[in-house]
Order: sequence, then structure tokens, then C-alpha cells
Amino acid sequence: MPFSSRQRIHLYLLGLLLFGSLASAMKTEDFKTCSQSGFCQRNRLYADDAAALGDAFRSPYAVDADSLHLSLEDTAHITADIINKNADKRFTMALTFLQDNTVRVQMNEKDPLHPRFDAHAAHTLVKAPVAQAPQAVDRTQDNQVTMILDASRKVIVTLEPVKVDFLVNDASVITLNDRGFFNFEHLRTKESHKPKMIQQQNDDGTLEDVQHAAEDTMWEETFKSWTDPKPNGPESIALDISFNGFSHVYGIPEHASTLSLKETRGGDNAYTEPYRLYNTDVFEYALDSPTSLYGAIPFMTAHRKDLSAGIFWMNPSETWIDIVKTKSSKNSLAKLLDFGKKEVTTTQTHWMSEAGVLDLFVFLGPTAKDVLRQYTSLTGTPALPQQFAIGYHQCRWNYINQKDVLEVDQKFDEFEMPYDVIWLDIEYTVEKKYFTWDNTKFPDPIAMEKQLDDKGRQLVAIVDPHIKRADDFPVFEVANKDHYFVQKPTGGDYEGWCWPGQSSWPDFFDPKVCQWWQSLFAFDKFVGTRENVHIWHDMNEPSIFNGPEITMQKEMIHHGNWEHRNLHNLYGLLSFAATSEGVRTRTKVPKRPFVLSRSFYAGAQRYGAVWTGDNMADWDSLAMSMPMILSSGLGGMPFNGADVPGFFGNPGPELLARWYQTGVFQPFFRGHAHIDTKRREPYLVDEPYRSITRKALRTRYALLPYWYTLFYDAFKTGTPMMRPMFMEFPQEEQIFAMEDQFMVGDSILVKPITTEQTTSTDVYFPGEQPWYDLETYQPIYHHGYRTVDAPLEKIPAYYRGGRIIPRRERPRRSSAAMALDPFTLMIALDKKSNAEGTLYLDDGESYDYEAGTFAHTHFVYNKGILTCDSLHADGASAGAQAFAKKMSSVRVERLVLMGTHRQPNRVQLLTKQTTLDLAFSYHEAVSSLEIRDPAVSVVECDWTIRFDF
Amino acid sequence: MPIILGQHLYKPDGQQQWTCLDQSRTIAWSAVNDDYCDCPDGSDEPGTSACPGTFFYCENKGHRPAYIKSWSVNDGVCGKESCCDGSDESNGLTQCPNQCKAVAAVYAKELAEKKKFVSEGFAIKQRWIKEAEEKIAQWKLERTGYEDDLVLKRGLLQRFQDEVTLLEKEEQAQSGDKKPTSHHKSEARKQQMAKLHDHIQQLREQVDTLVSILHDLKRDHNHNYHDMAVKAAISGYDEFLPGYDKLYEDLDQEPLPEEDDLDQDDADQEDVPESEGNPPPISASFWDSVTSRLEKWLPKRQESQNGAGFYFMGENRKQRPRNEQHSLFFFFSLVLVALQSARQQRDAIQSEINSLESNIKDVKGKIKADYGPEKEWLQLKDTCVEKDDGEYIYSLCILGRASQRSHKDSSNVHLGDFDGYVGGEGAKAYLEHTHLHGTRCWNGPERSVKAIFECGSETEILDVMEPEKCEYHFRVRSPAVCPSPESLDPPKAHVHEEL
Repeated sequence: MPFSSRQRIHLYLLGLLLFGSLASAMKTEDFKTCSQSGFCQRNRLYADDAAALGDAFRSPYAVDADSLHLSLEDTAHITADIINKNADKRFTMALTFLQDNTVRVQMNEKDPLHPRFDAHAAHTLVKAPVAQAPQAVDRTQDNQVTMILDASRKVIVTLEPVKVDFLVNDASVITLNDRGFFNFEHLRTKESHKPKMIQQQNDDGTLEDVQHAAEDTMWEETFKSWTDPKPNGPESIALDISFNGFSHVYGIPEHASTLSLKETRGGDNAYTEPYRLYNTDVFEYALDSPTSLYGAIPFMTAHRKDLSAGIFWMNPSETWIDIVKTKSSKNSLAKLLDFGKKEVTTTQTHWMSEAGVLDLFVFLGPTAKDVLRQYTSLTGTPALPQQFAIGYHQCRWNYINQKDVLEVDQKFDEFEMPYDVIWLDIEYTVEKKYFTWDNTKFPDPIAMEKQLDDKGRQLVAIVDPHIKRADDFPVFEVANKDHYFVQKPTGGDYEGWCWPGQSSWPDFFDPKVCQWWQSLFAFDKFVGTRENVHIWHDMNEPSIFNGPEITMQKEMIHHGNWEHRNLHNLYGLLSFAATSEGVRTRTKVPKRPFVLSRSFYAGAQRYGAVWTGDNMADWDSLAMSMPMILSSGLGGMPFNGADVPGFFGNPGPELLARWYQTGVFQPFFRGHAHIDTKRREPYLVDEPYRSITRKALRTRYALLPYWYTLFYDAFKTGTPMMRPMFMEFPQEEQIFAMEDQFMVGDSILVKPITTEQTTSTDVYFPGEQPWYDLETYQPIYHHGYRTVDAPLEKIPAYYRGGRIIPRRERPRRSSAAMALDPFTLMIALDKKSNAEGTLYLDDGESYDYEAGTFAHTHFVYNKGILTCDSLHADGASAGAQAFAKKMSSVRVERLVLMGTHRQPNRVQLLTKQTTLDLAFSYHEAVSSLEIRDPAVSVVECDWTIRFDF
Repeated sequence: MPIILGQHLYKPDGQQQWTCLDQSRTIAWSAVNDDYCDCPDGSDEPGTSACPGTFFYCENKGHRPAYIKSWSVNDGVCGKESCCDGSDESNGLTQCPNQCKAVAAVYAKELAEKKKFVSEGFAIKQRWIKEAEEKIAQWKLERTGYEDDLVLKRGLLQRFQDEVTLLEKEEQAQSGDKKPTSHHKSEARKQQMAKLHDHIQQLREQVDTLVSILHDLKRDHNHNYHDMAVKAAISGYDEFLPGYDKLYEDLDQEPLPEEDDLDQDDADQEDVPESEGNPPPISASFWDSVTSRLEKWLPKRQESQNGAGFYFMGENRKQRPRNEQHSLFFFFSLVLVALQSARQQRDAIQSEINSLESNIKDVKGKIKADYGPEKEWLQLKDTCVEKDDGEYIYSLCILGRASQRSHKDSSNVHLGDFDGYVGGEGAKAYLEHTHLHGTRCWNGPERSVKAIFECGSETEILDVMEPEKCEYHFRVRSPAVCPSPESLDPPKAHVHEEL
């Protein structure tokens, strides 16, 4: 019976009641589940079939022993053919042994129908990996080859079925094809393809041969109204990787998920979908979900008490990762080698990519920092940003005109809130034609930028990769004429819908398109910009409003006739790189570019910052910012931040204040707001929230010297600025999954308040050393959880005992204004009354540091003596000398010793020329000592300060 | 050490020491202005940036001395927020040239201009204040007039009301089976109700169709398409739906009366007044009293109203009806006519009273309304000014309505009606006006305007901004906010923001 209209409405209302809370949330049906993505479904079925067979299952892939070739001395790799016995297909395998505990494993079809895509490595890897031969090879075992890398590390290749084990101290820590899910879909023609048949029992009991479910998606697949023609048929690659004895794995950003990744095949607190890596613009994304977001980095780290190890699955096509954890591993080797009596958890992962070749790196740590160093030595370390980029950024969709921009700028000064950068979203353009200015709103952008520059401030303007198809738009005309756009399979520009309406997308996979794109940022091309203008590059997943999953159809064609499906996740990286390079080279002497991208892939850390996209102004999103940024850092992309105080919706003043307090301790710190929201610049909130927010902003600025040093360390080593607790305290198992508190560098612990109406919180104090309250200097001698007060004005944050942290205390309007301000050294004593720390300084904008124009100073407090020494490799170089001269007037104006239980008799400054008594004051209640104005240099270490207790 | 205003406060004592201005500490004289903050109140560093939240004194020779925020000292920034003599930048980060001469010239020019328009504006404002006083005095007179009239009219009303009351009583007493049309009436009502019922049903169905269309739109649209029109439709739908359903619940709880109910209603009504048998006979004395009462006003009415009943009145007023049945009917007609007439009379007076009362209310409202401390806004009330920004023409009627007209389609959008003054405390209280409850935005709030006034020699909109969706800021100049020109005479030194 058809419903009457009234009945229908009641049904709708019922629906609204049931699903009302989702009314404004993510539309999950717009995005594929694994079962809607053909290759994911096929490989999950493969895994399920294998699991169903249990011990009877045997992987059909085996190394052809005759083909085994070792060329270890020169190129340090072994090659062999692998045969798929079921399909009678040959594959090539290559293991390359690299410096720094790294091994590369590559597999490809031996004689493919046509080449498979592997051209992405050049965009992902920063340089050719450096080989390092194993110490020895052992072929005495029948079915295996053993490479001895060094005293504690080995790689064992089992020939049949093929399996690779990575051993540390004779225990396998990582196993490839442990469960036999390795599945390499070889290229084939539809005509030659023999569908896999299975027997099916009909209702009447008869048996019938029917096609296996995996056959459904081989040659075409349909999602919603889009049909992917899949001209190459099936071409996926899958492999299972076990992390033996590890109960925690991390990384593979970007997901709004937990720091310690969840299981994905059901069960308690587990997802039922795999983690997905497929760059997409998800509107109001769901929290606690394995669905893909704007960025994709297929790099995973596993950690346990004694060891960290990692995997980089270098493949930019759509990728899914299943994770399960098993107690008392089935891994025979692990059993054999025995982890002791206690039950052991092993994390088993299953990686599935749609196309390309298998190319993975195994990093054997042994620490999480080592794994990141190993990964970033391949994909590049995070770029050292300009100083201003780590200050506070003020954005809104949209500051509506020139006057608006300058008024907001003025208000920050009026309310004495520091900020460095004001941002323009898409509305500054003429009809979203990037590189143009709407002159009715911005009659004289150069004058506006000059005015900001006079205060040491910057402007960021948005330039997205979608190009409006408009004949009066020169950028479009050139790209159209010269065929710079991604093409349709049938030829002609691909067209889609985005902000400007009908648009096309430059093919950044084409080097000449990148050249052209870079040239557009020249000051005479992007008229109305000058040196203090930087770029925001959004929507580069690419976001296409009328495309499947809000992005580009996979059959579209890139340079070299490659289908988009091969390199989808790379697109954002390529456009980010081209934009960053354009900004870098627009001046005669290149300056460090600042570009913020929304999409990213492995290697994006070389080009600038990213953010967590369009989040919500609610408490849960504030809490989610922590695992998201931490995971990003574990993906080698540490310069990340969440929009403060949430993009969509209007935050209350408490949420706003708490979010600012959190943002202070996250690497990229930007206020942003959706166009439909109320204005919420931090000076607009009422007291006491305004003062609380001002205090938070000033805390950020006071810590800029420390932050900048951390960015330098990241640039040198790949260690993220914002770190998960386990990275600093790898032995404390109870904090392996901790994501609601974190470390800034190795010296500051932060536990942001992310719940409403909170006045106290439980902070976990790890390690054996004391901690000191950031504000009161009150020492905390405690290991484990302790409840601390956290009223609205308080951010629970602590200095770590044993560290020296540089600060600049003078409130200023911007970071540029602080350039010559004096320093305060916070000396947080450990139990033995020792401490040390570093400070990196340079001009904050140029590449002169490459020529040694910087200072890198190491402060040591030991047995009552404070000294420093330079970490500069070539302190005598002209660059170092020039910088030292520039900094000659910059002094240390204050020392704060925390955790000293006695008042000294005297404190003396000793230099070559003189000995001087320094004034000091002792605060017994908190055991801290303040030394007045020693006036020593932070660059020239020609002084000693002696404390006589 | 820069020169400091109140320099007498900065002198060492005999021991070459100095006491912080808050008396909290005594420090070495050498610690004053040594770029290290010793005093809790920051008073020891008036010449450096060492103490946050304090002020730095600029001598500004050639212009006027000034205080700038200590955070501006040695921050590499020259210009408006710094000393024009450049004395606040000394650490080599930048060098600010001494621009005091040029700044002084500009300042003098601006000050002269300002003085001119402030004087002009202030004069206009004074005139307006005077005019406003006159106007209010006039309104007060008006009010008194209305109030006197009202007393008069209320007396009249009482008289007619008494008349009506009496006639109503008689009419009620005499009405017998006076409902010959009641059945017809109920038939007509039934038909009307049925028609309305059908109409409502029809409308319900149409609304339901629209609701289901919108529901489908909400469910099926591609939200990533970011089509503002679609988003607006959906949010409108979301807002509409709860109210709509509530309406239905209410209606369903009170179902439309069915036909049987209608009959029943009529039957009930008929039951009450109808008495058994014949009406009571009319006494001679009552007849006399009725006719005499009617006489007073009936002749006047004869000219305009041509009822048959009136004809008999004049000729045979003393005659008694020939038979009871006939006379009863005739009399009843007379009573009805008299009643109708008396009611009309009463209602006419009532409406005059109503209009007087509303006039009084209006004029009282006008007198009582807030036109500013000196009623300077009164003369501007409903003065409308416009600003054309190329895309729209914005219009602001002071203390009235604000609107926006599009150049493209000349559509007119209501931006809000005057709601109040929100400038803040004291003299600033009247510098900002809010206009609220304009047309609701697509997917957004009701439009509103904040008009921010500054002194000018005429009333004009300087510019219009929409800092967030559907909230407009008008910057407006008007004599109404001009201060007295004397107030422009500068103090000796100033804190920069208040220039």
C-alpha cells in the first residue's frame, strides 16, 4: 500500500529523530567502503578465502631458486623471479640493503602487457637511496637465504612460499607475506582472462559453477552514478605485513582516528572497514573513523618497549590497510624464537593498492626517532620554515576587503595580541579566478601589504588548483591552448565543478606544466603581490564537487598517458611542490617559501605546512586535533595544525579559549572560520576569555625560540616538534596509546584541556626526573598520574627536569619585532642538579643558513656552572661570523633555575676580562632562583656563570 | 635616558637608589632604564621595552609629546604607532627618521579641518536641539488637547451605552421564535465549513507535496556541490519542519467540527433563548417609555434611513397597535431599529475614543522616546541617507528602517528596523545604532545593521561593510554626534590611541 503524503511525512520525521544527530555530519554514502572499491573487496576476499582454509592454505607465490642473483658487493641487492603457480606468471623481486638499517623490497611483473606505473618514486624520494652491503650471506638452509646486516640484524628470505623476515637479535620483528595474502594482479586482456569459478550449492541441493565474487569488479565498476571503465582491468597489489610482538602501530595519516591505530575487522573498539588512503575532500568529516581524508602517507611505525620499526609502502594509488592484532602470534618464527613466557601481541596488517608496482621500505629503528630519520632521509626532512610561519596566523573565510584586513590588523595591536600573518580566502579574487584581485574590494593590495610589512607582518592569499574555464582569464587561456590540463580518456580537457563553476585541473605530473605554474607566482604575473605575500593552496586532493567521491574520475589521463588511478594520492603533493617552488623562486635570491596545502603525500614535508582541514567548532574536534597532528608527525609531516577554534560552527568563549591554549602547543597555529560563522577574532571575546586568550598567544610567542629550534631539529633529523609521549618515554607501556597529552620537543609536556567546565585534570608524569609547572615553576616529583588544577586560565604544561629552554619574554606584536629581544633561559634541573638545552637562531627567512649564517648554541648547567658551546660545524666561517656580529647586542637577560633547594651564596659571571657578581632572588616556596641580567651572549660562548651554594 | 614626563619622579635618593612608583621596592638608580624590569609595576623602565604593559615617552620635538606602548619600543616598526622623532627605535633593528615636522604639519592641517567640520556640525546640532525642544513642546500641547477631548467623549459613550443596554434587555425579553433563519444559517455555515475544510485539506496536501520534495532534495543532493541556494533551501526546510509538524499536532488534537457537530451547536443555541408559548403582553406604560425614548433620535435618522417601521413612528406614535399579534411584531421591529441605531452611535463614539487613545499613546511615545541626551536625534528621525557601493545602494533612515537595493535586479531587501543605541557608556552611548530583524538571509540569520556614527557637517553614509554574513556595518557621519569644538583642544601629551 502506498503511503499517503501525511504518512510519508511522519516517516520522514521518524527518520529525523533517529538520524537527527547526523543531519549536518559527514555523508558517508558519498564515499566508498572497501566492498564498494573493487580491488579492496577482491583482496579482502582473497584474505578471507585464505583464512578459511587455515593451515591448508598455501600461498601460490614462490621464489624461483634458479633465478636468485646476489650482487651484494657493489649494489647491495639480491634479485629473483617469483612465480605465481596458480596463474603461471613471473614477477621480479629485488631486495636492496640500504644505509641506516633500511631495506627496500620491490616487486613488479616480469613481462607485463604494458608497463606498470612506477614513475612516482622521483617525486617521492628526495635522492637515490644509498646502498650498504650486508656483512654476510648464508645459503646453507634449504628453503631460505639469510643476509646478515650487522651483529644484531638479519633478513631471511624464505623461498616457497615466498616470505621475508626482518630479524633483530635473532627474533623476527617484521614478516612480509606472513599470512600469504600477497596477491599481485598481473595485467591481462579481457579476452584472455579466465574467470575464477567456484561451486555453489543451489536451494534444491544441486551444485553449480558460478563466478567467484571477485570477478564482479574486474573490468568495470560502478559507484553511485559513476562507472569506472577500467580499461586495464584488474591490476592491484596486496601484501600482508606482520609486526611480531608489537601491540601498537601508528601513522598512515590522514585519518580522524586514534594515535594507536585500531583493528579494522570488527570486535571490541575496532572498525569494520580498513584504514583508507585516498585523498578526498570530506565535508564535515566524521571523528573516530578509518575513512580517508585530504592527505595520504602510507608510512606506518610499530613500537614496543625495546624497539620501533617501520614500513613505507610507496604507492600513490588508492590504498587500504587492514589491521588485526593477535595474541600469541601464529608466526612460527616468533613462536620458535619465543618472546618469553608471557602472551605476546602481534599486529598483522594487510596492505592493498589499486595499481602500480610493489615498492616498500623496511626501517629497523631501533627507536621511533630513528625510524623517522630513516624515512625522512629517503623522502626528505621537513623544510625549515620562515620564522613568521610558526607565529600565530589569523584567517577567516573571508576578510572582505582591504579596509577589513587593516582593521583586523589594527585591532590585534590595540588589544596587544601578537600575530604574524593575516589570510585571504577565495573571495579576494574576481570570480575565483586565482592570480586576480577583486579591485572593488582590494583597490590597492600592494599598499595594504606594505602596511602589514611595516609592522613586520605577512599576508597569505589562496591559490587553488582548479582553473575557471573563462575566456577572459589568461591563466585558463594559456593552459587550454597549451594542453596543460588533465585530459579525458577520449581526449580534450577534463572538466569538473568547483568554486569558480566549470573548471579544469593542471596536470602537475607534466614537468612543463609545473614550470608554467611556478612562473605564475612571479610578482609581475601575480600582480598585487610582493615579498610578504605567501600562498595557501587548498582543494588539491583534487576536490571536484561533481566527481565521484568529490574528486577526479580515475580514468582521466595524465602526462605520459598514465591513468589518474595510478597517481591520485600524488596529485596534491605535485601541486603543493609546484606552488612552493613558484613562491621560492619568485625572488632573485630565493627565500624560504611558505605554502599551506590541504592535500599531501609522502614527501610533502619538504614543501611547507598542512592542516587538518575543515573541522568543527566542538570539544570532540578539539580533542581529535591531538591524535591527528601526532599521527601526521609520525608520518614525517610534522608541520600541521587544526583550525582554531574549529572551522564550522560558532564556538562558545570557553571552547575558544581552550582551543587557543591547545593551539599554542601545536606546530601550525592558525585561527580560521567558515563564512557562515560569527566573527571570532580573539580580541572579540569578552573578559575573562579575552585575557586568557591573550595570555595563550603570548605564551606561544615567548616560546618561539624553543619552537624554532625544534623546527630546525626536525629539518635536520625528521623528529617531529610535537611528539607522542612514547617517543620520549619509549619504555613506559602505559603511555603507548596516550593521545590526550604530548610532548613539545623533548622538554615540555602538555596536557590540554579539551572538555567543557573542567577545573582539574589527571596528568601522567613519565620518567624519573622532576617536572616544573610552566607558569609557577612549582616542581613535581612524581611518576605516574597526578591530578592537577586546571581552571580556565591554566594550561597544564611542564618543563622536563634536566632541560634548558630558551624563551623571549617581552610581549611583541609579531615575531619579527622580537628579532633582537633578550633571552631568558629556563634551567629545569634534574635530580642531580644538571640540565642542558640548545638554541638555534638564524635570520628567519633566507637560505643563508646553508652557508653557515646561523648560530646553534648548546647550554650546559653542571655542578653549579652554566656554560655554553657552539654546535656550529664551522663557527669560524664567514657566515657564522657575520651572524654572530648581527646578534652581538642580543643578550640573556634572565636565568631561572628551577628545582634548586638552596639559596646560593653568590652567583658570579666570569669572562676573560672580568668577574662580576650577579643579583638574584630566591623563591623558596617553589625552589626557584632568578638571576638578574647576566647580559651574556647566546652566540659567543666566552662566559661562565658560577653558582656558589 | 629619554626625557620623561613627570621627570621629578625619576631622581635618585642620597644613596643613589630609587623607589618604584608603587613604593614596592627600592632599587639601585643604575637599574632605572637599564632594560631590565625590576619594579612589579614596571615603573623603572619608562625608556625601554623591558616592562610589559607600560608606556614609553616620546619627546617628539616639533610636534607633541606622546606616550607609546612599551611593546612598540625597539620592535623595528616606525610610523603611526611609534614616536615621530624615532626615539623609540635604538637597537639597530631599524632606524626611524625624525618625521615630527611633517607629522606636525599634517596634524595641524587635519586639526584645522576637523575643527571646521566639528564647528559646523556642532552648530547644526545646536539648532536641532532647539527645534527638538519646540517640537516636543508642541507634542505636549497636542497631548493635552487629546486628553481633554477624551474626557468629553467618554461621557457621551456612557450615555449611549446605557441606552444600548436598556434596549438589549427589551429585545431579549421580547424575542420569541425569532430564529426563522437559524436552520438556513446553519445550513450555510455547514456548507462554508465544508468548503473551508476542503480547502484546508487541499492546502495540506500541497504543503505535504512540497515538504516531500524538499525532503528528497535534502536526502539526495550532492552536499559537496556547495550550492548556496540548495544549502539555503535545506536549512529553511529544517527550520520549517518542526513548526509545521507542531501545527499538525495541534490541529489534529482539535479536529475540525463535523457536520453533526454543527447541527448540534445550532440546536444548543436555539434551546437557550426559546421559551414555551407566547411572549408576554406589552404594557401601555412600557410602550410609552419606548416611544418617547426613540423619539429623541428617530427623526434625525429618518432622513437617511428609510425603514418601513419609521414611517409609522412619526404619524401614530400615540396609537396603540390594533391587535396584539400585529402590534407585537411592529413593536419588536421598532426595538430592533432603535437598538441598531443606538449601537451605531455608541460604536462611532467608541472608535473616536480609540483613535484619541491611540493618538495619545503615539504622542506620549514620541515625547517619551529617547532622542539622545539633548534630543539631538529627534530632528534626524526618519531622515534617510543612501550609499551606492557599485553593487548595492544602501539606505539608512535614522531611527527607522535600513535597506539595501540591488543594482542588478533593483530588488529591495529589508536590513532591519531601529532597535536601540549600543555605543556604550556615557557620551559614547549614542554613537552606535542597531537596526534588527531584517529579512532572513539565505542559510543565515536575520539581517541586521550596526550604524556607527562620527561627527560630520552633514549626515551621510561613509561606507558599508558586511563583516559576517548578513550583519552590516554602516559608518555614518552626522552633526548629531559632534562634540563641542572646544573639546578638540589637545592635552599636553597623549596616549597614542586616543589621538
